[in-house]
Order: sequence, then structure tokens, then C-alpha cells
Amino acid sequence: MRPDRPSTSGPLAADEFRSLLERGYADTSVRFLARAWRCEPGAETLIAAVDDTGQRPLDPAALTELERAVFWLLQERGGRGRGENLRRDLLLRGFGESEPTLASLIAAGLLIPIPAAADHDCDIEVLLERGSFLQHDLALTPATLANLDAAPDALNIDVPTFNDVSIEPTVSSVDDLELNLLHLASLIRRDPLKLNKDGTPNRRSLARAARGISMPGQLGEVAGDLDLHDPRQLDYLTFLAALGRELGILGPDGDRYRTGDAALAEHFHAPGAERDRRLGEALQRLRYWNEVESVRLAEMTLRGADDQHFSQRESTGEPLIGARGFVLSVLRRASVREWASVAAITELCTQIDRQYLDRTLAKMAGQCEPAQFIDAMIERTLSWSGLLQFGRTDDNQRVARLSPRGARALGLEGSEIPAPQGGCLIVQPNFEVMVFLDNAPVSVLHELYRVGERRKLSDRVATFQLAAESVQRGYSLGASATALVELLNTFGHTPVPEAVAFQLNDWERVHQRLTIHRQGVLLRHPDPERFDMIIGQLEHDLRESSHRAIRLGARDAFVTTADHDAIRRAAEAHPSLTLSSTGAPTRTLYFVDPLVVMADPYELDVVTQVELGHLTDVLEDESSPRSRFFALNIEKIRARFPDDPLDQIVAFLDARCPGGLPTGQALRLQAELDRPARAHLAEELIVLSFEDRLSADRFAGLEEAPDLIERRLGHLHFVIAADARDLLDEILEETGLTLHKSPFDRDE
Amino acid sequence: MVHGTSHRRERSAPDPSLRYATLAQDLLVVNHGLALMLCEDAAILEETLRAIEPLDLHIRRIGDLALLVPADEIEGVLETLHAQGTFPRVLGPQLIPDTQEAP
Repeated sequence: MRPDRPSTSGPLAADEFRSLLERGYADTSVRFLARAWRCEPGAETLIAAVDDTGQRPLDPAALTELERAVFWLLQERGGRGRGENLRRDLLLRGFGESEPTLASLIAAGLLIPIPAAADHDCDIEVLLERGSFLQHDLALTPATLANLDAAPDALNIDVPTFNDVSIEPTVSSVDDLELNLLHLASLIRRDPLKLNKDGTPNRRSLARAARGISMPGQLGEVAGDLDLHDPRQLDYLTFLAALGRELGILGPDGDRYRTGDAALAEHFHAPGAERDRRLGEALQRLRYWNEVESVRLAEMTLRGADDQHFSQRESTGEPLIGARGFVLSVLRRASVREWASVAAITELCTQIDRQYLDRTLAKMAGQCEPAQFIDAMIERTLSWSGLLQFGRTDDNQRVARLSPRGARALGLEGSEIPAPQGGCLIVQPNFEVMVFLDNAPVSVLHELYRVGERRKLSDRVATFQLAAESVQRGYSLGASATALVELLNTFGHTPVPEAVAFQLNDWERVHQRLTIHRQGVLLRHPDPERFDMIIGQLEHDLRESSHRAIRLGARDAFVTTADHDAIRRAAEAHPSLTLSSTGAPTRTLYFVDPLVVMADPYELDVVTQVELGHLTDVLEDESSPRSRFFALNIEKIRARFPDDPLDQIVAFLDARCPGGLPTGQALRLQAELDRPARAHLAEELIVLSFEDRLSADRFAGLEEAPDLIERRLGHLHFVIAADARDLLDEILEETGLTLHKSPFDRDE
Repeated sequence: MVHGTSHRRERSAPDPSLRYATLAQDLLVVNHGLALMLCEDAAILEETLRAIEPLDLHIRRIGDLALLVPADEIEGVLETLHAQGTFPRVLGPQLIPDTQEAP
């Protein structure tokens, strides 16, 4: 059982101290405090000293600036604070490193480390030796607090406050960043971004999407000022592309960067808090962009810049993932929601767990000091993403704080942001939609990017044009006229003009004149009556699902899914044949004559059927509706497979004939497409066969062998020269070979 | 032609005559891996065929309104149609190519 402790906040009161002396402090701590307080090491004496203002009088004049700051902060917090929080907050307020000062105040008995709840043997001297007092609450005694109250001069310090701050115009906001990402991804959706061999974005391809981007702090789009030879612009676009990749809205596909509508819709329709959380994680995970290099670039021309930095195949940012996570964690713990000097934020991140940063950054290629990295992260990653806001004070001091969405991205509590209320757009009769960005949810912008072309962006107003092509493209991506008109009415300051609504519906009618079902199964049966029965059952089985069977004729139907059990049941309930038009072909071609195949057209998959049209002539006279004869046409084969006609036609037929391409047909194709296989026919031969290889080898080694043997066939057989019969008889006699009347059973 | 033998019809195994016996059974053919292009009228079908003609696809036409292509060729069709300013209604998920090699 843990002893009850009377208090865990405020100054160290006598009853709590009594409890800690009983079960909390080790004897060494009791002696330590007695020495520090210059009293007897008895429990009662010490407990009495806690409230005795005369025991440890304060001399304000003897206090250092930092000691005053520690007392000021502790008084602000009611007399107690966690060591690492005190240190962090003092760093953040520009007082610098306070760990030695905290240690000296503990050593003087003015700050008391409070044992952790489970610690029954807390040794204050050990805490000081190890520096682990930062992980403990540090409390003032009521006596010290009273002494501080009595000496207001002791707390007379110059605490920086930043009330009159003007926001810097050169930074971005999370809203700006999202609009840029949406714009870039929407244009890449239509026209994938080409990547060069080294992974850098192709400039011409990038320029098409980049003209509509607004650079950090810029109100309108970059438009005519776009210069991809400017390393800063190219760097910012690289940042956007790399971030889009980590957010899952852009992805490499061979030599292109692409995006999918589903991924875009999923991201930009997610709730704001979720998007912000993803942003925080993605910024930490950035693999294909590096803020340290980004800062170095600012002083270079593009010619001097290393292309590796812009490459979307070189994970130059990966070594910094741990360091970024560290900085974000420090900002989260410090909860920097009020203005703080940028120098103090850098100092805070540098000083807290400096060893970790040193270790992490040591893995990076190239030299990078912790302060240099933190500075780069603040000036680039956190500035460009809008997680931090920056400002200037009256005395020109640069300050920063977490933006509301930045705080939410770091998961800080109490960072709810009210959703924009009221209208944000106006639909004009000329099919232009003006959107007031400050009040526009990003999901509305996503819908407008789907169905429209953004024509202009200036002064927080974006103008989209709805055109036949763009709207039908949007419909093909899943938008609908009804939903679009409803959205425009819901978020519009005025109702959608009637002519516009009519046209949106009409474009949908045009769009639906061609419907594509991406995946499904074709069912065919030569008997229409039986097919009616099969499809009737199938329609019944599909009635609860979103899929359907579309009749294409008396003998054909298309089912809009391949996975439903109803299809499997239909195939099992009737004699059936399963074909695949994307996998291995079924063997449905039968050779019936040299270079003539027969097939049942019902049993041909689409690829085989179309290829037969390219490679053969149909023998109409011999064919019937259910058995078609196709004569392979050598000229057509050469035309279809110009590079390697023999290999390709053999591969085509081999995969489609039961048992593979008959060898005779392969020889014939070789003769037609390459050159005939050559053979020699020899008649009236004398063949001598041996029973074993050793005897055959000895025979081959005879002195007369060159005159006797015309050719050796394998190990055991010899063709004897036609004019050497007499010589053979002679040898047989000389060597004692006996001739069997019948061939040997065992062959080689 | 081999000397002393008559002309021999070369056949794939099994003997096609067996196939005629199977044909008599009238099989239900289940053809997987297809995409369907369904047109409002014959004119739209002709227009669509003309638009995708350069692609060298495997297209089977069924009646006046339907075109079938292997599902792995439909994205090329869509790209071509989009490039020409036609944005058809598209239903169903995109085919994910099987990149794993067969064992």
C-alpha cells in the first residue's frame, strides 16, 4: 500500500513533509536537509522548520537573475513545478540553461525534490549527483514562499512579454499549404508529373502544375513569376511534392508522379483535426526533401545546387526523421501557444536532450550541428507548413508561436477550431465560381477542383470555371449533377442560377451516354432458353447486392462483379468452362490440319479471338457457327509480330493448344517463318551395335577404325562405311566379336 | 510428305472429335477479367470505336451497344478518351495488376 500523501500541489506543507519523512526520503536525505537548514536532523525539528520563516531568510540582493527567475516561475505556479518543465519554460522565456541554478537551490535547501509516489528511499544527494532531480517535482516550503512574498524585490525580474506583435507576411498557413497541395495534386491527377531519370521533376511538366501555386506568404498565385531555375521556387515545389507523397495523395509510378481520386477525396474530406494530425506525422516523415539542404540552397544559384536534393528517388530527408520528431515533441511538451522569441525556441530545442540530437544528426551525410538543424526546421518545415506563426515585436525581436492548426497537428488539447460558417462562394451565370478562401472548407475546394478549372487566385479569392469538359471529367471521377448543385447551393451566397443548374444536369446526361464497368464477368450460353433460366437465377441471387447482370443479347450477359458467390454457383450448377482475359489463356485451339486450327467461338476469350483475327484467315466454307476453322496466314503473322514472328506465334499457340503446340506444327511454322529444319535420309546402312560401352570404345580405338566407321551414333552404335563390309568381317574374325541375331534389350 | 504414307491430318491432343461431344453439352462460358463499355446508342459506339482505334486493343463487340475489352486494357481506353475530351461514367474499382511472379 502506498502511503497517502496529503498534497501534490502547492508548497511543501508540514503534513505532506511528515508523510514523506516517514515513507519517501532516505535517512541520508533527512541529514542532507538538516545540514542545509542548519538544524538538528530530527523529524520534528525539520517539520517545524518548514513553516519557520526565520530558518532560511532570503537576501534578494544576493540572488542571481536566474535564481530570481526560478522563484518567480515557482511562485507563478503556486510553489511547485516539475524540474524539466521549469527548465524548459525558463529556456523558452529566454533565461537560458537553468539546470545548474536549480541544482544549487536544491543544495541550499531552498528547493525540495519531492520523491516519486513509488519511491520510499529518495536520496537527494544522489539526485543531485545524477542530475535526475529534473524528473521530480521541485517545491518551495511555505516559509520560503512567505519570505518571497515579503521581499517583492526578489521577484523583480525582466520577464519578456510579447503583446504587440505584427505577423510576418512571408510565412505560410496550414490553409495555404492545403490549397497548394490540393492544386498540385489536382493538376497531377489530370497530367501526371514526369520525373527525369535522376528522379528530379521534369521542369516542363512541373511548370504546368506550378503556375497556380502560391509561394509562402504570397497572397496570389505565382503565375508569370514562376521560374523553376530559381532554387527557392523549385525547392518549395519539391517540399510540396515530398509532403504530398507522405500524406498519401501523390505517389511514384515508374517515371511519373501520380495521384488517385480516391486518395484525394479521402484526404480532403477527412475532418480538419484528422488532416492536421496527418500533416504533423507527414512533416516528421518527409523522406524526399531535407530542410538543411533547403536552407543552404537559399544562398546558391540552381547551377550550384545539388540535384540530389530535388530528386524524388533519393531519400535525403530520411536521416532527419528522428530529429524532426524530437523537435516536434519538444514543441508539443512546451505547448508554445504564446509568442516566444525564436532564439529561445531554438535554445530550448538545442538544450533539451542535446545528446540525442547529436547522435541522430551524426548519421547525416555532411556536417550539421543541432542548432543548424533546428534553425532549418523552424525556418523551413514549420514555417512553410504553417505549424508555426512568426511575428516581430516593437523592438524588432523575432517571435513565434504554434498556430491553432499547428497546435492541433501536435495533438495539443484545447485546440478545437470552429468550422467556418455561412457561404463561401458565388456561382455566376457565366459558369464562374468565386470562392472566398478564408471561409471555404477544403472539401468544397476539392469538389470544385474535380469539376472545374481554377482560373485565378488573388487576395484570398479563387475563381473556378465550370466547362463541359471539366464537369464531365468530374462526373467521371464520381461527382454527380445533383450533389454538385446541392453543394453549390449549400455553400453559395446566392442560389445557383437556373441556367447553370440545367447545364450541369445536361452535361451529366451526355456523360452517361457511355458507361464503363471496369471489372466483371461475361457469361455466354448457346441456348437462349437455358441462358434465360441461368440469368434469372443469377439476378435473383444478386438482388441484395449492388451488382447486377446486364443482358447484352440472347446468349450474352455481363455481371458487374467477379467475386460474387452467385457466379461461382452458376458455374457449378451447369456444365461450364471458365476463361480469363487477363490471366493464363484456356487451351481452346485444336490443330486439325497443317497450320489449321479449329475452335468453338463461344469458348474463345477476347484476347485469343482478336489475335486469331490478326493471324489467320477464317475458312468459312468448312466452318459452322460452333466450329470455326482458322488457317494460319504467314504474312499476317509476320505483320503482327514483326520482331520475332516464329517465337511469338509459337508462344501464342503453345499456351492455347491442349498439350501445347504439336511438334509437327512447330516444325512447319519454323519452315515457313525461319528456314526448314534440315535432315538427311541414309538408306541401306550397316549399323553395328555393342552390348556395352567399354567394348564399343575399344572398337572405336582400332587402328582400322577410320576406314571402317563412317559415324558413331551415341556410345554403343556405329554406322559402318558401305564399302568396308569385307574389312568388318576381317575385324570380327580377328577380334572374336560374335554377332547377335536380334538387337540388345538394353540401349544406352 | 513421308514416302509411302498417305497425307496425315495432324491434331492437337485430345482428339477434336471429343470436343464435338462436349459441344453437344452446351457449356456455360464464364469469362473473367473483362471490362464492359456500354453505349447509349450505336452512334456512340461507333464514335468510341473510332476514338480508341489507334490503341490496338483486344475488343469484342456484342450487338450495337456493347464493347468488351480485357480489364487490364481499360485504363488505356480511359486515358485516350480523357485526352480527347470524353469523360464516360466509370463504375467499379480499378484493376490492381498482379505484380507477383507465378511460382
